[in-house]
Amino acid sequence: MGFMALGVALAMLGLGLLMEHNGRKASRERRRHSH
Amino acid sequence: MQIIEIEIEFPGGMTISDRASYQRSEGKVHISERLQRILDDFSVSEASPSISAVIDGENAQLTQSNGRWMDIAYVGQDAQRFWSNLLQPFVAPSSDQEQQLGRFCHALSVASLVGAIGFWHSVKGWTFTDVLNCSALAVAFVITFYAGLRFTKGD
Repeated sequence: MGFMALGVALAMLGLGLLMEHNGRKASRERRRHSH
Repeated sequence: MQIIEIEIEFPGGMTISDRASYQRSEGKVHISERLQRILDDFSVSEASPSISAVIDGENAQLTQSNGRWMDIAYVGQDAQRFWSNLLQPFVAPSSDQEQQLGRFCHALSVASLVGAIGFWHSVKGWTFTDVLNCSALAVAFVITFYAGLRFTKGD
């Protein structure tokens, strides 16, 4: 049970980091298009 | 009728931005005579351009059909749009969506903490597996708590 929770935690962290990276990239592109 | 922005991109690198009128009932775009003349002049020295427009938020590719009239072919096909909508939260998330993930991580961190404490109190004779399970829950708490703090940060 503990390891399942740990796996979920790591998966959430990975997903969040991916979203953070993509979000930064998307906002950078949006800024570039608006200029 | 609706006024739309169109962009004409030549393979040579030149790009022309102009406005045109979109006839919704006919599904066609009407360009100005001036732009028509420019296109005719450039057709002598340039390869055929790519003409695009954004109509109702959708990217459309235009093709010259008859003089100043242009036909519309939507780039965003239904299947393509379905997948891009499905993956949007992960591919191009808004800061609100990132914050929601942060809140979800905090909910998971509370669950891990409660799980670890409950586990601790329910174990009578500690075995190696119990220690590993309890430690894993504690580590999961730390990770999700940190993830929650990081993703709720916002812009």
